[in-house]
Amino acid sequence: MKRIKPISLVEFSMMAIVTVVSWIGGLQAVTAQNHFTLDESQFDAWLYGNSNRVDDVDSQITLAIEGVDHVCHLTGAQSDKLRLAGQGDYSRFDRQADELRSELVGTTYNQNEIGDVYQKVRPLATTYQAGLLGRSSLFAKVIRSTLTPEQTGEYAAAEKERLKANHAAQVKLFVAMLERGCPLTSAQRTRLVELLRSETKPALRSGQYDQYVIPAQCSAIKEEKFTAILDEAQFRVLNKTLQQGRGLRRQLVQQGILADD
Amino acid sequence: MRYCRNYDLRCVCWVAVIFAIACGKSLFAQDFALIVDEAPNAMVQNALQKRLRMSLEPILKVELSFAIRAAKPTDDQRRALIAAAAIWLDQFADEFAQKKNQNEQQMWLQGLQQIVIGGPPEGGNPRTEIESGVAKLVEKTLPEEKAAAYKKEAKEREAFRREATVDQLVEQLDEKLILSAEQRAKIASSLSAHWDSKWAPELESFQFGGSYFMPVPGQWVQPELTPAQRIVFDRLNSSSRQIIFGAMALGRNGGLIDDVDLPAEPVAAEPAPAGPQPVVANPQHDVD
Repeated sequence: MKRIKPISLVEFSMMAIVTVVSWIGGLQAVTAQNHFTLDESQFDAWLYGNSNRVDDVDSQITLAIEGVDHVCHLTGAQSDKLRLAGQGDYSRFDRQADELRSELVGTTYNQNEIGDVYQKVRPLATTYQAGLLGRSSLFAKVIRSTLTPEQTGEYAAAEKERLKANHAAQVKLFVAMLERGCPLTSAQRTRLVELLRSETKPALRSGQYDQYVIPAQCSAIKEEKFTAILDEAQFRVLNKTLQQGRGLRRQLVQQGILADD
Repeated sequence: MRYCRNYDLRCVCWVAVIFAIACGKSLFAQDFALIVDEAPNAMVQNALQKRLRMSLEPILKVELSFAIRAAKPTDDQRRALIAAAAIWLDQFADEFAQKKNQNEQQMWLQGLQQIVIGGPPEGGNPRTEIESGVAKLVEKTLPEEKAAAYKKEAKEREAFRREATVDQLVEQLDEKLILSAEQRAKIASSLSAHWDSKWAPELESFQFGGSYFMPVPGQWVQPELTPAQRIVFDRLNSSSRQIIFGAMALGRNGGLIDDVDLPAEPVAAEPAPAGPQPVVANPQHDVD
């Protein structure tokens, strides 16, 4: 049997090291390509989106109470009840988030599973991004049960005013964005804004779908009303937006953002 | 060979060979880079200029279409304006390409697919530049009263854009801070009074359903806020950044009007009557 020379052994060791290192690197690459380990930061990015986790919960609750107080001048007891309700909403969310976090974070998923994992996080993310003190919150329920009839009327009127202002802003944004590709004269712009303000309605609630509210309703406006304002080339551009808006209406009705009428 | 059996020496040789290869490779790479950098620079610039022209032309057409609607020039005046605009576009694309840094050049070459979060783009916003370029061409090529009509319309359009942007900023604040009606009105008026295009976000920024909080100059907002609102506002505002849009800002996500035919190659500013004329598709009917 040939004796292995010491020099060859060293060379062999170096080659082995190089091989093992590259093999480990390759394995990691393959693993990275086909598998995905969900870590805390990725989970948070899915859950909180670009808005990040709100750390100052007290300020959030305080300003929600102030929002009501501005309009209907709450008593101390009413404010306390609302504060408790708000804290309850945040606690409930944190509990749900922690449960989901402990279930999903730290586990490795293959490509087919990642979509399902994301879908598990999505409902809670939607709740968070829509605001934890929104319409279906405990906070909102306590508002309804705590305010006097007079205060309820004032609060509803203020909410209506807020949605009206939002509607006016969305109409202007729609027209200004249309003008990016469809030049309008000042008179045309004024008439188009008037038409859209009269022929579309404010959303039932404002939020992340605000920018779809006008295009979704535009598609129901009779073509002649637009062609009375726009020339043919301009209408061709608008028509592309109207076509995109057709599918949106049903979705917004399903989401409870537009009334079904 | 005897010396090759020497354990230490062979190890040293091995290391030396690897080192030499690494150094050689690095030096070669530098040389190669020097050789390659020179020639393709012109090619990159050329490709970039072509890409820029292709990307910017639709925006120029929209602005010319606006100018034609606003100023209502005669056919000859239209032709002169469009011919001048075609020449201007080539010069502009050339200058614009030179102002871009390497990253932005790459973005343009790849069709501006990215959306960048950060400060304003180097070399200015192409839409703004095109609008001011056309304004100068209108002033140069059209009679005074027509240029004045265009100027008036452009001013009104700018005022409307500003109004739409301020309204969106107020809505964004209202969504996060639950403003009273009085606060909304005061903040809107403060932002309008202190308007500056340097901090104003692009209208496209508001098409993300509130996913991004657009930065607002604190000094024009904070005086109207309650302490609780100020805490939330400061947190949101300190971490927010402006968004620079790629293709979306050039209108490629929606339709673009196409009723002005620009010549493919630049032509003389005042084309000879018998020569090939750029054609302007007339709007079917001028409204107002």
